[in-house]
Amino acid sequence: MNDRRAYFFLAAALAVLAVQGLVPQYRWLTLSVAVLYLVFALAFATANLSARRASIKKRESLDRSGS
Amino acid sequence: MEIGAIIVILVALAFDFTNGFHDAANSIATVVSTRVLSPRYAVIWAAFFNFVAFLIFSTHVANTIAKDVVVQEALTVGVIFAGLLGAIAWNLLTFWLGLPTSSSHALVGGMAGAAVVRGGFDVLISEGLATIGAFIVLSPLVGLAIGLLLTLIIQWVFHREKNLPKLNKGFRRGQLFSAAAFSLGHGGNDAQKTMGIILAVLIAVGSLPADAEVPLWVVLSAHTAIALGTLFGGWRIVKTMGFKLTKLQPSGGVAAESAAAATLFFASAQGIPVSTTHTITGAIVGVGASRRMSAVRWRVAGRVLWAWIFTIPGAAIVAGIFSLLVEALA
Repeated sequence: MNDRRAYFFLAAALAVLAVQGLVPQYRWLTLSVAVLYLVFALAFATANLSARRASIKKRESLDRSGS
Repeated sequence: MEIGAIIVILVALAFDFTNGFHDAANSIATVVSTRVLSPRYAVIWAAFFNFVAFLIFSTHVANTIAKDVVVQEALTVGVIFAGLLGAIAWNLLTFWLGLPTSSSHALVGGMAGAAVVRGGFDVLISEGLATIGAFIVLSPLVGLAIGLLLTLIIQWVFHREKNLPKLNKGFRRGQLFSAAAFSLGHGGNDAQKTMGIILAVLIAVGSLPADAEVPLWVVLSAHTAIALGTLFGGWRIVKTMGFKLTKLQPSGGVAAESAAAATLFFASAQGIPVSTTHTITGAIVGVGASRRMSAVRWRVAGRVLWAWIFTIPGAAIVAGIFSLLVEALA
């Protein structure tokens, strides 16, 4: 997980959850936003992992064809 | 009405004028930068929607400022005046330091600080302050989430579109509506802070009962002041928020303004005073983050974070000093 957006959205989700206790009447809002941020964090993290895996596979196939 | 109350009302309207003057750039930045409207027409467009916001929003935010920050017994004309002076002084200080602080939070901090110096911490209404404090963090983060979500939806819907000039033309037109919606949200939330101050003064001097609603003349004068501020100041502020944070395309402008407008509409409907500048900042960061992290100028976003932390305590301290001065001179 080295796409910095994943860390950013994880931090944003934690910030939203941190203030949740101050506004219990808006729990539905804070929880929805926190879940949305966690989905973004997961999406950016996995998208980055898939891209890296594809790049490694491509490099390996280039190495094999080279040798 | 006593002369002191009239002075405070005039200072509050001047504060509202400077709010329009300063924040107009937030709503016209993208329409001007994408040449949908000339700066002059963009300012007239924003000012018009600032003014007509009173037809759409009720006065919940004004009631929160007047009744949910400090107990009414502690809100004398002197305390309100000191709070207002503290907020203005804090805004000038942070403007000089280049910190993008919120005048709304300065106002809340100012009133709280001025009242605490006179009556101790018991005069504060913790529930109201907790909601305002939580939304200092939540409004930009909600704006950011909606901004990113709208950008992803736009990208998903139009990713097969080959005719980019046609697409951009469509979004340029869309910006007229999104800028109008943001100006409505700005007028609706920010003008009400001034209405709240005036309502508190009128209650303090006994012109209105404690449970009174905002009179129409107060609503109209606050909206007129903010619209005039936008009209006179907007086009002078060339360095726009849009370009400071990230370079926006027409579709990004539509997404950012719509996201910020949705957040402001929600806050106004719930009676929560939020920073319009911080909300649009969050939305613009959300649009920028859909591309890559380096598309966002994090130094500017980081300065907003400092502003979150310091505004309410900073304005409270400055207003506390003014409160002591007003008490000594009265």
